[in-house]
Amino acid sequence: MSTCETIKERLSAYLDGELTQQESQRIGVHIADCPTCGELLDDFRRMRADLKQLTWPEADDDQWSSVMAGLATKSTRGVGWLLWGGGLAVLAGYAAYQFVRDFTFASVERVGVLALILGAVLLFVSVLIERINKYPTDKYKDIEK
Amino acid sequence: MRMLETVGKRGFAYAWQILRNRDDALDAVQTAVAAVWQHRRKLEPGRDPRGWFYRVLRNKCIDAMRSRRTHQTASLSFDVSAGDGQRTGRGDGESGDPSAALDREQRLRQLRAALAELSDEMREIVLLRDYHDLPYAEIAQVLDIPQGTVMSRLHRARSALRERLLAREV
Repeated sequence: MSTCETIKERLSAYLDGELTQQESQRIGVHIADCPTCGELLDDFRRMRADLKQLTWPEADDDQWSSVMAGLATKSTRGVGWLLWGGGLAVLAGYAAYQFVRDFTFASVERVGVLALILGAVLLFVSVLIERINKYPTDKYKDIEK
Repeated sequence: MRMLETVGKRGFAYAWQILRNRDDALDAVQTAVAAVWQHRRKLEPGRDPRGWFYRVLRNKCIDAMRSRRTHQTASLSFDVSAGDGQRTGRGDGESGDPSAALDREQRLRQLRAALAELSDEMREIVLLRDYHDLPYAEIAQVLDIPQGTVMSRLHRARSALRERLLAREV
């Protein structure tokens, strides 16, 4: 037979349906014969019902609309930036390729422009790598701009 | 997005309980909703998102408290007052008997007062379970504690709340 003390420690979880079927049955059997534990369970049950009845302020519909609208804007903006950046990269790459192949320009000019483009790409990649490496420890990453 | 709206609306009360200010609570919910939306692919299909959302929201609230009190240590302190001039209890169950309604209002007022006497840790876990209706696994995720600790802490908190209510009846 279970003692009241060990049963009492599990009553809360019993009320919440968080015990195994075997444990629940064991406690159910005890409660049927123990008015003290039964009374405690009734009190917990009443408290839980009353706690559900309490009220706290709620956000009104207008405020929710602005929260959800902000979310939609953010998603659209992300896709927009991705498309814009991707398109620009493709166009710049294609223009560079055409320029290098165009023999109306002197070799020196072609090599110079190619070096400028490659330099810009390398700078961009180095900044990107730095940002990626710093991201896990960046304490400001969650701050909204 | 509909799911996030439902969870977020409920989460607003949680943010309010921590921050005690409508605008701050709304800001915290907004940033939490945006963060969860941004990482929504990490959520396992079919899994209840509330634990995850509440955990993110709790962290946003702590951040908000830190920035609010730059020279003080941020600690969670739960507000149990109805706030914003609202009534103590929800409207249902008041079908006509004025004395029953009065009795209920009185009981809920006592409950709020007893809740206010609990430690923040106890108050938070009771509210997460009984007001926000989170299962133990989700509470463990929100508070970042083992599920066994949820069980024992919740039992201690309910026992303490019961003792304070009984003391008020005497």
